Amino acid sequence: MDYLLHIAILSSIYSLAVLGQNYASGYTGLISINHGAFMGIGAYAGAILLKWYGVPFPVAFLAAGAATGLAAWLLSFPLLKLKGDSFVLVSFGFSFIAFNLFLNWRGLTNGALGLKAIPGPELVNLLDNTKIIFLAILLALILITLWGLHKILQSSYGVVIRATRENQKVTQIAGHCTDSYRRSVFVLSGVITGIAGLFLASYISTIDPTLFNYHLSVLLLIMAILGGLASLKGSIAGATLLIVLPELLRFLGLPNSILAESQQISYGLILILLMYYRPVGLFGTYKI
Amino acid sequence: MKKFLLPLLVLSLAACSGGEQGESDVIKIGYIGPMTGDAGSYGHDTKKGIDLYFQEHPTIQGKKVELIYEDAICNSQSAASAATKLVNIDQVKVIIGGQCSSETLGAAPVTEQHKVILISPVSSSPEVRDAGDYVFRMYPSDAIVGQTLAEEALKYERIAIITESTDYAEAYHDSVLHYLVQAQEVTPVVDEIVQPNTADFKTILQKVQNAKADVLLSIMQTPVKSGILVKQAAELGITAQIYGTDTLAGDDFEQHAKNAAKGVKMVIVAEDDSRAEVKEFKKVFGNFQAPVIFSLKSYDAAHVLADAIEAVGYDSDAIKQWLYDMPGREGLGGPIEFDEYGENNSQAGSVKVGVEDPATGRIVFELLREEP
Amino acid sequence: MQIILNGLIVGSAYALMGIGFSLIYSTVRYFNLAYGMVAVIGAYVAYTLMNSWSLNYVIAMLAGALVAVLIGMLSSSILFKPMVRRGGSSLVILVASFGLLIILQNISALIWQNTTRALSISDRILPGYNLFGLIITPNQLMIGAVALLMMLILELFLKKTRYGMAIRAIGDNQELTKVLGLKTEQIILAVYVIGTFISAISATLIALEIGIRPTHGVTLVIKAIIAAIIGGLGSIRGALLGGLLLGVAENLGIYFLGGQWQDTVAFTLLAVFLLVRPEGLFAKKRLVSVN
Repeated sequence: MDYLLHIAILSSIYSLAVLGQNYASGYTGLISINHGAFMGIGAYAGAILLKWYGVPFPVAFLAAGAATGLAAWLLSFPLLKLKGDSFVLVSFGFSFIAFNLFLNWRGLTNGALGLKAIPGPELVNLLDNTKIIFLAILLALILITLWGLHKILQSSYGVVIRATRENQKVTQIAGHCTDSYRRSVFVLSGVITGIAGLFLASYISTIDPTLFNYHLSVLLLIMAILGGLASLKGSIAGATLLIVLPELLRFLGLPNSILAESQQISYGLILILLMYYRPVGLFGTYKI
Repeated sequence: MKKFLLPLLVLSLAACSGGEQGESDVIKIGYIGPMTGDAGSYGHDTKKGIDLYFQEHPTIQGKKVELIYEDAICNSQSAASAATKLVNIDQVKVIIGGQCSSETLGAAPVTEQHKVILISPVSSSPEVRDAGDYVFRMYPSDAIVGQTLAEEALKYERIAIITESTDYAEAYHDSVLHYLVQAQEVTPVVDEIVQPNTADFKTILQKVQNAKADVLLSIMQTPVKSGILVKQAAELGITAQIYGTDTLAGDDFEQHAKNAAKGVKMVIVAEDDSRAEVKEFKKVFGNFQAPVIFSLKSYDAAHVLADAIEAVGYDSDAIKQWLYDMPGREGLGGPIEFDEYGENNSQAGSVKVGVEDPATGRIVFELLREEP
Repeated sequence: MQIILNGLIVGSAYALMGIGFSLIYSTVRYFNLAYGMVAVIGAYVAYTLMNSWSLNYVIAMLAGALVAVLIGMLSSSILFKPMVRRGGSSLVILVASFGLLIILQNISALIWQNTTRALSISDRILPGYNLFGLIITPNQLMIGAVALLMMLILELFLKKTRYGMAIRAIGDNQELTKVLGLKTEQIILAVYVIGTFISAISATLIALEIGIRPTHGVTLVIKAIIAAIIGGLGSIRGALLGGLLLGVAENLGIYFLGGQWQDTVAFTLLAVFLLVRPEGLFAKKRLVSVN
């Protein structure tokens, strides 16, 4: 039972992160490989405040969102000037730079030693099994985000965003400042993913820079593509599948020495098969 | 979403049915270590040391011992997953691990939360001291062993330090620096960091050479990195005396450093070679991939744990108390007594130096004989 | 000084990786991320040949490169060509190539384990040679010499042979290649052969310094991409310069900023070029954009 809650919580955290990723990548065509770094920023911002300044959780929540939003905003200036493959490359590069910062800025992040004993929301202590309320908070957050994003995408603002994805030039000619639209999407996607990062930090209670390197960014993108770009429920599906599948492999009784590699090979196979047969992913509507 | 409910249901039934662990006729002991990766030599030897003990003593309280191994690749995230799996799925109450300090530090939050004993044979980071109430370790803290390294460094004028940015290496570096700067007010002339994913030290070594350092402390996570550093230093003609930490020697080090290892020194806890039991152990063990002391410590860890369970049963709180209360004893790897932090700081570091074995031509590490 | 020499030597290996990558990109117009991993497998094969059959370094390197070429050709025919035919965009193929990289990386980990394998020219570690006050190690000499040789051979090939001319032409004008009597598919195969061969040689050379481990696949393809982009995708001379520049910049960064910022320096260099001069040093083709 505890184990199921554990899987459910991880799936929820990643689902939230992928909602952020998909919002940027699926709906705006910004195929970014830096959301792992965003999770890291949210995680570290919240963890530092929670652990060393003892702030109440809601404050850390706001701080995580704000810090990541700020980082996304700053990053958007150089990044949004680029298109297509160059965007992908620089975004990928940012995940390395962010990793270096997490690792080297020892005064702030404690470097390779990481942060330990990060507290979670006080609410979870209401029940003996802290996981239950933690999961409940996450699910509520996911629902709110789903509802919020849905509303945004349905609005006239959302129409412009999708138009920008299809053809930026035409949208500009129609009179829209596409850059500020794309920037706002990027920032919001960062905020959402940053908050997911905070919950990750609180849940596993120890974080270190290696958690947030390019592997995480790639994983988030794969989850988004698998579930389907430009599909909100696809984000959740993709995240959950890629959390549950490796756990299933564990039960196959594979000898330990090849388990990790087998999991990775299965990721690779999924990617290739997806790209070959169904690049839109499970529920997606946007073809890259 | 509906399609997920059925498999989830099945999974939950499976998980729950495996959950209830009443009186079982098996004693489960978990193992967390680097079975693969650059630190694989440690995983291999420590696992073998533990296996050796349980081959000789297969039962505790009449029940068979079952060892469950998890690979943590010298990585704290993997160790946390490994611990989660061992604790939640296998329902172990005692784990011998991690080996790399990163592993112990990663596993500890999980084991602490579930009140599972975590006894590490060879983790040495000072951080492990505060890792938890149920965390014990056999190997002295780097705060102590590192002091020996610092004292060695102080014999020279200009000290250079190269550290890998990993948790073990950085904590070790901090201990050494603390001793140098705080206690002795000496500042290194070069204090550089290298990224964990690279192995080209040449430019940093050039910095060391340019600063005219006469001693170089190499604080790396694994023998592989140490080996590559020593190799490149030799090629560049670095004249400074190189010192490594416990993570220097091993088969992997030798593979990379080859003859360049001659004259390299390392600070490590040394085993007492003169004892008959140690000689016997070495004979039975066979081929060592890592320093002998690691296998001895793992054997001792298994022994201490087995005695604890034999005395008080498979109850982690009772075992914990037993370990804290345990009177000092002599293990194969040296004295064992746990202080209030669960540390065993009864030994200091020794200096070993790489010498050429005339029989094989290979470089082996032997205790440095102090000149009068 | 010494640092610049270090940078130039390692940069020449990066340059080889970049040249091979640029060559392939200029013909197929997609990014193949598995490129770096295939190269590393070539190095692994060389390692196995040296260790198990005591082959000499150079022979083992060539043999390893041939195996890599085989894998490269297979990946092109079995995976990439069909995907292109199905109308996959360059981004789709990029993602698929990443999947291939992951698979190859983990298969390598299963075969050769995750520990770093050592590769050396000789049994003993020898001190470097002193040349005008600069030290050049035997490994560095080997890397520099072989890289130079490879580049010369490539230059000759591109200028003198039919395939070579077709490769140079295909980027500018596909019609021209038909005049030379070669089909596009043959040319694609040719660039895969050459590009993969060069990359495997490069990986085996770099292995002398840093050993071989599965994660080097990603590391090397990143270096290749940075070198190729700085130099201007599709330009051989550009990739050469890009690789050298990358090597020197990295080492200067290590010396003056500290080893911990190595990756940051590399990627900042990439970002600066993409923002300020996206066509690279020797503009030939702009990066294909998705839109």
